[in-house]
This record gives sequence, structure tokens and C-alpha cells, in this order.
Amino acid sequence: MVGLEVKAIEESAAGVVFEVEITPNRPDWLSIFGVAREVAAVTGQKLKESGKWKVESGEKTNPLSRRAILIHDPKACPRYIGRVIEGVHVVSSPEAMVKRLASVGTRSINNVVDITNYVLFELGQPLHAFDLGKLRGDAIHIRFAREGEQIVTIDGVTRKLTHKDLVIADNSGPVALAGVMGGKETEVTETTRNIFLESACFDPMLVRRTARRLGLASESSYRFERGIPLESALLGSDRAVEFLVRIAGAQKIGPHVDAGKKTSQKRKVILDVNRVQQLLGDAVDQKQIRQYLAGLGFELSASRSTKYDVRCTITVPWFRRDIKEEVDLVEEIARIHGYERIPSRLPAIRETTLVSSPLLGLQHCLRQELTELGYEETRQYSLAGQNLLKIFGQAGRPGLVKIQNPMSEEQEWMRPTLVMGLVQSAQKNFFRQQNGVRLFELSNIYTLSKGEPKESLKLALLLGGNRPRHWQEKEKEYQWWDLKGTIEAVLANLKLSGLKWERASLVWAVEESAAEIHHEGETLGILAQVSPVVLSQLDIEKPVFAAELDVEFLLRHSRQSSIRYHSLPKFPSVRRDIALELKESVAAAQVIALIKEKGGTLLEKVQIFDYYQGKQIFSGNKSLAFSLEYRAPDRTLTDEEVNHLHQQVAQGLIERLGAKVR
Amino acid sequence: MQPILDRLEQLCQEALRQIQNAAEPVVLEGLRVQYLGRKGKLAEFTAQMGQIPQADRPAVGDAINRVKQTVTTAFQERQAGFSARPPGKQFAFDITLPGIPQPIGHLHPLTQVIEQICEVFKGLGFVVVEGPEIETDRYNFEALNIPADHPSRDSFDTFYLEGGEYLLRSQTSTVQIRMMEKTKPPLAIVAPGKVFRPDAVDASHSFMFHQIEGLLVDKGVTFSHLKGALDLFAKRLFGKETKIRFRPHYFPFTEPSAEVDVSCLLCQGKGCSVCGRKGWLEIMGAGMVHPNVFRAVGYDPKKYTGFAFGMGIERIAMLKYGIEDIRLFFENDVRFLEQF
Repeated sequence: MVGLEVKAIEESAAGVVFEVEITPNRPDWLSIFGVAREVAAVTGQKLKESGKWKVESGEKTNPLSRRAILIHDPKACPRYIGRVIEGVHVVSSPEAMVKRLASVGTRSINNVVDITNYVLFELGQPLHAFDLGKLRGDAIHIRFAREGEQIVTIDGVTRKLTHKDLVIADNSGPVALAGVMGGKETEVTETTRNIFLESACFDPMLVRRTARRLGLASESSYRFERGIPLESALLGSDRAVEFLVRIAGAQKIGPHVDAGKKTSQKRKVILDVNRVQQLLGDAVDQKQIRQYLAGLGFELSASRSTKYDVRCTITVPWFRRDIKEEVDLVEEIARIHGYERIPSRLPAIRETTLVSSPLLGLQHCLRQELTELGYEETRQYSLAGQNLLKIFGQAGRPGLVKIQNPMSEEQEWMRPTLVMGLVQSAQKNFFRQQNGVRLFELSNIYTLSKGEPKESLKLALLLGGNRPRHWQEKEKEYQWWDLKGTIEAVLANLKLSGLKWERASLVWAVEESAAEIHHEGETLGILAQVSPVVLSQLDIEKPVFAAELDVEFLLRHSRQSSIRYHSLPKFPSVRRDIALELKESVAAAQVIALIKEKGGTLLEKVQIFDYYQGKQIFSGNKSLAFSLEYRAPDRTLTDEEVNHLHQQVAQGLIERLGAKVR
Repeated sequence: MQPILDRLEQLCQEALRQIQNAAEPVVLEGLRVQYLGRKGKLAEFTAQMGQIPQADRPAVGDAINRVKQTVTTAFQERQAGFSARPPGKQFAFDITLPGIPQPIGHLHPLTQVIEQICEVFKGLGFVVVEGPEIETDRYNFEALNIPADHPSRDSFDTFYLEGGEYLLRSQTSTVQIRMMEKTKPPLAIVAPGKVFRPDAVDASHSFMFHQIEGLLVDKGVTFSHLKGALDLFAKRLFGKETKIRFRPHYFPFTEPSAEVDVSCLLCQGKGCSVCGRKGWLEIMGAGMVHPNVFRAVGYDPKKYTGFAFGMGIERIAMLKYGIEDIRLFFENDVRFLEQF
């Protein structure tokens, strides 16, 4: 296992074909020769050297066959080799070549074009052949296109060019997109007799941008994007010329016109042998390090070497532009040695001051609590489509976060509330014959705040349909009060008190059921019944209730971490009940607040235990019954004391709320 | 003699009939006394033996014994029929009716897998942290050694927010950078969370999924430590017979890099349809943190080394529980959720 992974093996007319995965850092593997080089390094076999295909240029050729090569921007094109080859016969390629090209998925065109493709696959050097006769003037320019220039590429499409596109041009205009695709006008056909062979290196980013902009990807552009070393250009040119002579009957070979730099800058990396050994668990010794690196083509020259400090200077071969620093060499050594031979040890982790965020702890507690209360945890997609937003009245509201590059309609928006997704889940479950659902989710919602996207952690709950069926009673539906009960339980467990329930305005809710939970003046969440208008659009026929709470708020206001014990009461309490007839619209909270006010410190607890409308009560009124518990910390209260107090409470209710005591 | 035998036979039939019809143990007991007791009907016959001629006595004696056997057996069988009922009282309160339902919910399987993974690493000393889902280019690419216009970006397609300044993170490695910027080494963290990649949704791909990232930075952290930590993790999560193997690979933010396989859970490494006959299942990427990443956050790569790993939670859950379709995690069908 050295990193060159064979994904598949197939038989073809040309022999066995290996499909190999090439990682982006190893462009030197993008050729048969590159792979062969690697296999030789790993197995220790000898590699047949390349570069033995020099073909000498013929006698002095006429001026027509000399091309001036003008590189306008050396950074864009560091090297360009052009060569004139005369007298070719453009016919079909020999069968062996056709088969081999087919085995790597390339169609045969004609012998000249095939040779350029063959050399690309064999040596990894992209080449291009122009019909010399179709090139105008005697200079070849490697320059950026001018705004407004066009080219018809070999696929017949006219491409508009910008000043960011690197092109090969003759005196009248662009003849090829550098590194990407050739032009139709100058392509080699059966009538071509003389060709101009290009073998060059182009800047990877420029090739990539042009290829992307025009939606063109070729074997050529793929290799340029990953970087072609300067040395490769000459090898490719020579090899192609050798084929052209052998297969295409080339008569006269012009000299190389080689513009730009000829060799890449030699790169040296210092290797600290001790450190390398330590990093690899002391699995490799110095001898092995030298052996592996030498096999891969690295040159080692020993430098400073004391008993404790051994450093080598490693010269990187020209075809390994990916090796930049010591860790890159560490990887080479490790993979050749074999990762499996590196020993396994457990790390000893030192203590730090870093601790897990309390928000994580709270999330864990909330999840546990809600599952124990009977709710199933859901996880929904963070993105939603316009349709769903419309159904819940969220489309077009301010602060929605939009996705620039969605793959479908369903991925256009980031959800501003978890309620939509929960109701969708409820719908799916109802369709699959569930009678009732209890769901919760603890996840982010996304909104824009002052133009900046913001994620907020929310806890959302949903109850829908019927309670679990029970043989003691008829099937009952969930109520708004059930969900309020869950919320009250969760908040009580966080030791959050002093909550106020206020009316809210929620576009997806039944109006009179929409409530906001306030704590110390801030809104911590909402609760409502989902409106039948919304439900009918989702084909839901059962009642659904939903709530959403802000978790960061819960963390900030939870008093769980500041619990202190209160001693238990020493004296008994006295209980008195009171039943009142009130107008329907008087809120229970208001009555309780008044009772507490009038009852004073000796009133320990107030609870509603009955709610009644019907016979004996005027229409428009309701009856609420409260149980009050009075207690003093230092004595047992007497009946007189309690009666007096209770009388004051009743009086206050009559006077301030117009209540009738029953 | 015959009349006696006839009367015996009649008695036997009568006894059997009454035994069959005995509705309660009390009644049965009464019959037993009546027929088989000391002063019972059969005993009467025995008492009258003295009046029977000598020659007939053996035959009659035999007959009496046979009847006694038959009746006794009948009694025993009938008795057994009663002992299923507790002796004595009958109750109307049916203890076999179901209890009043108090349904318990379930943590989502992804939550459970995340917690299991975190537990393993917490045990080693890692701290669990979280990071934002909405990120910038710097944290998602540049600081991770993935420059703009680099071919390696192709494998990290991302969703951008309108405006182009923000994106949805495509890997949880962003949290590594944030934590390293906030803290000085040593650092040992695991960071679970949602990630997003523009992808068509099918049985094995989803545009939104979950990953967990791990990072350990200190003086003297080696590749051996990476192997040790991940080996422990694999055994804890999948069973102590589990093996792992490392294959050289490439990530821009680690060097050396590896893809990590776990021995196939189903066939224990022998090869089956689940693992495509390989015997191994790929579960994560890992490697030693690249010095460029350290440079981006201000750590000195000469003093510190570190390892990092990242895995897809859905994949782990699908392997561990045998779930065949990733979309099930986000459909939230209660019949799926309650299985975990």
C-alpha cells in the first residue's frame, strides 16, 4: 500500500487496463511513465529511461520552417518549444496505437493527432500540432487575448475571449486556447503536409480559469492545472518527433525553438533524521530512509552529522514539484516503508484549561429530559424550499438567508424556524398511519441580523393527533395544555421561574392559541396551535401544536448552577379554597397575581384546581376555583388569622376584578 | 356374582360422570370422600365381601380394585385441572391488562452515535467542542492549506450564501482552526457537527450530513499515537475483534495522510456484499497536521506536531446498525426513530 490505488482492473483489446486513483498532489502519476517510475521505486525494478528519442534536426531548413516564438508573459508561459516538421502523411494510425488509445478512452483521429495524444498519456506532456500552412505570418505569440477576440475551437463552437484567457496566436489572431483546446482553423487534417508541434508549460491557474469559464475540460487542461514541470516539455517534443518520423513519414525536422526557461529551479529540503524517525514511531532506521528516498529519485547529500543530530540535504527530482518541505519527505518514507509497519501507541494527553462549553451540557440534559417525557428526537434538513416557506407564511419575510448555488428548489433557503420541519415530519408520520406524534429537535435556525447571517440554537417541540390509546378511556386528542405542560416541566427543571405568558402574533397559528413566553422582559419562546389553513395545505387532518424555545436564553437564565437548599417548613399549613365567577376574558394569571398580592407573605401557595363553564354560570362568565395554602415559618396559624387573611383576599377579588365568590 | 359386578360397574360409571361434572375443588373433594373414603361406596362393597361365596371372592376383589384404580385416576386428572387455579379465591382484578401508557422517546440515532464516539475520546482526555455552521473562506479553505483556484478545491464543493462572503462549512475541520486560534497548545478536541456539500440526494449521499473531527496537538505527537488512538476507537465502537488499516492518501491539511479502513463488521474481514468483497470498509480520513495549518494559526511547527482525523457520522451509523438508506435519518419516521 503505497498510495497509488488501483480502483478497477479490466481487459481490453490492448491488454490489461488499470484504473488508478490519482490524488491532486501527484500530477507526476498522470502518465504511464509516471506510474512506471513509481512502481520501479517501490519494487526496486529498473526503469527504462526516457529521453533516448532524440531525433536530430535535418539539414538547414528554409526560413519558412523557422518560427519566432514570442512569450508575452513569462509567468503565464515559462517555457514553449516549437518545432516545424515537414512532409508528413496524415493517415490513420497503426492498429496498436489505436487500440492503446481506445483502452484509455480516447478516440483515434489521425496519426498526427493520435501521436500528440499518445505522448500525453505516455509521458504526461500535453502537445498540440498545428497545420503549418494555416498559420499566418512567421511568429507564434503566447499572450492574453484582447477583449472582443474570438476563436472557433476544434469542437466547432465559437468562443468569446477575455483578457484573462491565455491564447496561442499567429499574426492574425488566436489559434488555440493555451493548454485547453486547439482551434478548428489550424487543426491537422488529411490535407496537412507540414506541422508546427507545440510542447509547452502554462500557468496552472490561468489554464484552470479559462477551462472553467468556458466549461471545457480536456486531458490537456487537467494536467496543466496540476502543474507540468519545465523539463517535461523537451521530453515530450522529442518523443513526438520520433513517432512522427516513424509513423507519419516526416521528412524534414526543424530545430527546436525553445523559448523560456529550460530547467526548473532545483529544490533542496533539509531532513532532520531524528525527527523523522520519532514521527514514525522509530519504525525506520537511517539506512532505510536513504534507501527509500534514493529509490524515488531523490538525491541525498549528507550534511551536518553529530552523534545526536543527523541532517541530510535532499535534492528533489524535477518531476516531484509536490515535495516542498520535510513533512512531504516524511510521507514518502512512511508510505514506502508501509504504514502498517509503524507501531501503534496510545497518546498521553496533558490536561489543559480548555473545558467543554456549558451549552453542550445543557443540550445533553434537554435531550435526555425530552426523551424521558416521551418525545422522539428528529433531525431535519437545514435548507427549505419556497413552497414550504409560503405555507407557513415565511416567504418574503425580512432576514431570510438565501443560498447562492442551490442544487434544487428545496435547497434555496436556510430555515428560519424549526416548526416547519417538525410539522412536515408529523405529516409523514400521519401518512404512515401513526395516530399521534410527539417530536422534538434541538438545532440551529438561521436568520440575517443587520445583514449578517446568524445561527441560533433552538429547541422545538410538537404534539399532534391522539394520545396513546388506552383501554380505560376513549381515544383523546392532544391539547395545547399538554405542550404547555411539557414546557413548564422543562423550564421548572432549569429552575427558571417568574414566567409570563403573553399573547403573540404568529402567522401560522390559530390566533387565540398563539403565546409568547416572557422572562425578565425578554422573549424566550413561543407556543401555538398550528392553523387549519396551514394543515390543510399539508393534508393533515389532526390537530397539531408546536413550540420553539431559545436555548442560549435558557443557558443564560437557568438557575441550576446556583441551587441552594431551603430548610423544610417546621409548622403545618392551612388550606382554604375559593371559587370565583369571573368574566371569561379575565386571565388566570391576573387573578393569581392579585391573590398573591392580597395574601401577602403568609400565603405560601396558590393553585387552580377547577375551571367550569355551563349551568349555574352566566354566559360570558367562567368559574375558577383556587386552593390557597397559608403557612407561617415560626408558628401554627390560628383559624382566626387565616380567616381574616382569606377574607382580605376575597374582598380584593370582588373589588378589583368584579368577581363573585361562589 | 354377576349382579354384584353389574352394580360395581354402575357405581364406576356414576362416579366417573359425577367427577367430570364437578365444578369446584370443594365438590370434587366431597365426591372423593363419597366414593373412595373409609365409609365410602366402594368401601361398602369391600365390607360385604364376607357375604360373597368363597369361589367368587377373587373375581369380585379384582373388580373392586379395578374400579378403585379407574376412579382414583379420574379424580387425579380432575384435580390437576383445578390446580391451575390458585387454590381458594377468584379475583375480578385482571393483572394481565396493559399498564397506562407512559411512552418514552428516543434520541436520534445520529445523536447516539455522536455521543458514543465522544465518550471514547473523552475517555482519552479529549474535550468536546462545537463551531459555527456558517463559515468563511478562510476557515473552510485557506487556513486548511486549500488555496483558491487549487484543483484540490474540486473535492470540496460548497454552498455559498447570497452575497458570496459566507458559505456553509463542507467539513468540521473548520473547528480545528478556530480552536487553535483561540488556545495555545497542548490541545485535544473532538468537534461534531453538521456539514453541507452540494450533492444530489440518493441512498448514499445527502447534501447535509454530520461529521466529527478530532485534533491532538502537543510536543512529540507522532503517527504512532494517531494509530493507537484510532485503534482504540474502532474497538470500542465496533467490538474488540475489530482491526483497522491505514492507506496512504492525500489531504491538503495533513501530511502524511491516510484513509482508514475498519474490518468489515458483517464478514469480519472475509469479504461480502457489504464491503464489496474487500473485507474492509473505509470510515475516515486522518493524518499528521500539515505545518502550513500550524503557520496559519500561529503555532510553531518546529516545536509542535499533531494529528487530526475526520469521519462521517451517517456512515458510521449505517455500518454499525445496518441501515441501508441515508435518507432515513432525515425523514424522521417514528418507526425508524424508536428502533434505537
